[in-house]
Amino acid sequence: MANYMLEANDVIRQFKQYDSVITAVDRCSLKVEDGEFVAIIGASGSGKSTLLHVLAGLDRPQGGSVYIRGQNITAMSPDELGVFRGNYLGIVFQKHNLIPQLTALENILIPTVMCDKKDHTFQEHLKKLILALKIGNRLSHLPSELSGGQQQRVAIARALINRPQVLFADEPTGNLDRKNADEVLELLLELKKMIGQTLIMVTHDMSIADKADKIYMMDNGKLFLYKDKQGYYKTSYELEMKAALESERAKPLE
Amino acid sequence: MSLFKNLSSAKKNITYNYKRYICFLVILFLIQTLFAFVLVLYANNNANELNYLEDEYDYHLQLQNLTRDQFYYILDKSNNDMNPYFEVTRGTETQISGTSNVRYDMYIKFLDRDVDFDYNVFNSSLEKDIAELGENYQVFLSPLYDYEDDLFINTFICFLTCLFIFVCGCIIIYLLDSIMVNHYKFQYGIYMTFGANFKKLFKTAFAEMFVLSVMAFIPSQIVTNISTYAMLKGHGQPYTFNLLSVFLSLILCICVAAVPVFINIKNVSRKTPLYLISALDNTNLISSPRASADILDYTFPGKLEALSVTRFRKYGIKLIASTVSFSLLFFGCMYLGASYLKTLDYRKPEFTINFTGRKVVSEEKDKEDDSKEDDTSGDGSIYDIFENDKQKDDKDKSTVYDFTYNDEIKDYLYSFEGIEAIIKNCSTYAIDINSHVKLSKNQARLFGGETNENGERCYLNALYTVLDREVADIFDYFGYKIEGDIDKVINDSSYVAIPYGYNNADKFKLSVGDTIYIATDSKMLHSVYYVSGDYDYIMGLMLEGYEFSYAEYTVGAIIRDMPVGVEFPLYMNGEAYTRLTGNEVIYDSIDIIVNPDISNDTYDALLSDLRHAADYYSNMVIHNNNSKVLGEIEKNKNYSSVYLFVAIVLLSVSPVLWFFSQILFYLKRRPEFDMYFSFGSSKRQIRKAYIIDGIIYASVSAVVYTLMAFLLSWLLTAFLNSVFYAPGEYVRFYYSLPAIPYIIGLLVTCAAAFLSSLLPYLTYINACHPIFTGKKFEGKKDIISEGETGL
Ligand SMILES: Nc1ncnc2c1ncn2[C@@H]1O[C@H](COP(=O)(O)OP(=O)(O)O)[C@@H](O)[C@H]1O
Ligand SMILES: [Mg+2]
Repeated sequence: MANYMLEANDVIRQFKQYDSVITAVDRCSLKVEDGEFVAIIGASGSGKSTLLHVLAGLDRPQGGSVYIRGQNITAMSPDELGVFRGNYLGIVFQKHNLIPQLTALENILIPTVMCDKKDHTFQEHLKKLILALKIGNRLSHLPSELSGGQQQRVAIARALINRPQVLFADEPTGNLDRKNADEVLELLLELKKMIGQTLIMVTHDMSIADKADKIYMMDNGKLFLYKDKQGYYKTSYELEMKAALESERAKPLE
Repeated sequence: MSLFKNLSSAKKNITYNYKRYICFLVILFLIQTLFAFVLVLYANNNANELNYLEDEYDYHLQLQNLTRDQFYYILDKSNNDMNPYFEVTRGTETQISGTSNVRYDMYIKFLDRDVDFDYNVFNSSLEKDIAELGENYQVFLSPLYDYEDDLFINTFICFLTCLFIFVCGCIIIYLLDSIMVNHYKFQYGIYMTFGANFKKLFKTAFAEMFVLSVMAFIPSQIVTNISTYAMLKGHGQPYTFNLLSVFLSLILCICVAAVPVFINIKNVSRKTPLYLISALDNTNLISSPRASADILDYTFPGKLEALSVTRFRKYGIKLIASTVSFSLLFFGCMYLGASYLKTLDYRKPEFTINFTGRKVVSEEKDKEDDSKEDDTSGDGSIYDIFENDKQKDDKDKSTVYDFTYNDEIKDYLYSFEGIEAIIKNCSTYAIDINSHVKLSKNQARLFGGETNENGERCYLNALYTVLDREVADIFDYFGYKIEGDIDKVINDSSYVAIPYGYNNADKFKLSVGDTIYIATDSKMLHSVYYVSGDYDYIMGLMLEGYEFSYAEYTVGAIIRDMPVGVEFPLYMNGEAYTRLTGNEVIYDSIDIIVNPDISNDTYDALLSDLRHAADYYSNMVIHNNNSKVLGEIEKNKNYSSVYLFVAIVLLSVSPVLWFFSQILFYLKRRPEFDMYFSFGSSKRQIRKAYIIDGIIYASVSAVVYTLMAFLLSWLLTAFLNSVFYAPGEYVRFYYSLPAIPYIIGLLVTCAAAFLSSLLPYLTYINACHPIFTGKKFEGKKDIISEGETGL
């Protein structure tokens, strides 16, 4: 497992609602190598966001385990996990989730304040990010004074300021128009080249997914490999899916 | 370095978001002021008490195993010395708890400067005197005994008060902070997403509280020290600045802020960041979905409504808890303050005068001592000395022995300036004449007394006391409440009056007209031997060793509110007294109540007048109880004003807290209003729903508050009676619900609960909604709308 940057085994995440149980993530497993770009595609409501939150340590699964850099994050205490997230992980949400009371710059700097990294030399990095994301003239603005694209670019800068080893992005362009979306995605990929981190992105845009090293497809809580370096698995996917849909669903866990 | 960074960022945060922190600042200021007030007062009280007592006496002596007469003899010797080098400033008699023995305390002031030398002279002469009296005496000696004794009590009270403020403070800050943390959940979620953990969040939050506490420091110290200064000067007391209490109050304040913040942040950091970012809040809906649905002209099923109540339980409980708890604390403080004033009001005699000569004669006449008295020989010797003494003084024996309290001396004493009342005393201890009081089973409560073979309860601790018109007038003078007819007791020798006071009210269940029995005659079956033990123990032995015959008496009156010590007086007229005890009615001691407002000069003149009188009537011994000085010290401790102050602060805090919470809840309710308006419901419909909502909250709060107020005053009564002022004061507290504090508390509770439902609505209508005001809605920057927090 040490050779994988991220490895998830049989992850289960269920939600109780009154007396019924929704299995949003159903025994999903995936392996991501260092520096890879992995895309997760699937219909709305298939459990992509839920899976991503579990992988990023923002949510706790009921079953299975997630290893990042060889460390089992599902076994960590909330405090250890907090430090781990600050040091190694970054996330861009579907909605920007910027803090409305703080200016763009303050929002970007949140990770540097919250995480006690030894070498705090983010100034150079910050300049590069601001330059690349073209938000230099918007830094003292509040999120409510920024456009959707600008908000998302600030969110990307916030996710990357600590130079995370794994960046999770949940439909980062879902709320943007086509032109803005393309621009933001280009930036994201450019920055990936610049920093060299692993990228796990949820998207429903096939043209973006095509640029990924690996594509996973999510359907009704189940995860399937859709494409890797060897090529597409479209046919096998369909077969697998059929078998999977006929098989039993995961039993509700406590 | 990292602390400094935290502090400076906290400072920046606070100055940017001052609106959010102003409530915390106000409350931390109040808490710190309270702490400082209590601590500064404590330091000053101790210093002033020490001064007082140092002025009053140099040495304190405790004498044990002396008879009362021996003690009087010693007092007499010192008080009647015409050229004294020392002065007995106070002499008191105290029952040693758990035994029938007494202890005598004597406070001595040396008139010359050289205290050590004088003390040696005094001690050797005292040793000589006492050695003549017998061998059983014990002397304990300590400088400033009272101060050390009081220091303990003062420290204890100060500690309790600080603890009380600490707990209240923690609750207030906890409520405030949890409302705030709940409101800013989203921020905490984001911080945690990007690397914050408990330690980090706590450091940040604590740094804010620290900065706020420090900001409150200077103003609160100024307010405290100036008001303490004014208060002490008003009482003619010196004021000293105490650095320790100043810093202690800051530290306590910081701790009060740290504890609730710790708990809240701990709770937050246990949640997953995702939960914090995306959790929807139920508090943004009015309490009844049914009412909400009505607004939209839709019938909400009743069954679901009942289920959904639980959604609001947290909000409802918090709201009711916050409105009720502060009013209750206010009520409790007022109760304690009033009780404290009551103990101060309890009038203690300043002087006690004993007429010793007569007693000697009467006791030698009817020598009825039996096996239980083991210091008879001691008695013998003091009488010898006494008589020798008198002979040396060349006074006519007959005038000495015939003299007792009478109208002549009464008028003479009343002519002195400053004397307000004289309580004359003629009584006999039941134990001294082998008598006791017997009550039937259902006239007695659980504790006290000894049960005989018939299941009746026998009390040895009775003090048969003569009641005449003059004594009854004193009851009126003190304002004791009397049930029944006191005149019947004065005129009819088959009636008795019994007081319900501190020590016996919870032992008896008597009412006017009840028959009680008093043992009149005893026949010894076998000898009874005991050295010491409490009354009930001795009673048990006596029930085995004697056969008693009883006389019937009727309870003619019950005197309430009277301070009663270990022995309860049983009042009867002179005829009944003589019949029962075999003693003539001779008033052998009087208590003198002094007007508390007289000046020190008048007081000194009074004391010297009394000394002259004592010199003239040579069998008169003056005890100075120094109640005035001690009472003054107590008054100057100002605890009742502390309670009052705490009460007012708490009551004023509650609207601040409530207002703060409502502003935040209002922000959360905004989308709800928007939704209703967008569905086309009218302003009137919505207002109706909120008014009903407010009425429900107000009535529930009122009921909870009333129940709790009853419970609290009951608990406080029990607490005061058993712990706080017992047993030195002998003041009894009766269960009551003080009307004015109760009503004020109730009004504040109801108003807060009612407005908490209406205020968000009114604010919305008046300030924000463009439809109704015509003003353009200007979105506040610090408002997070629910939509933005979703994923
Ligand atoms: N907090 C939650 N409580 C209950 N159900 C949830 C929660 N979060 C997600 N779900 C459910 O889990 C399923 C997957 O949701 P999500 O992961 O958001 O899908 P996607 O991101 O692929 O559109 C959905 O059916 C959704 O209703
Ligand atoms: Mg999603």
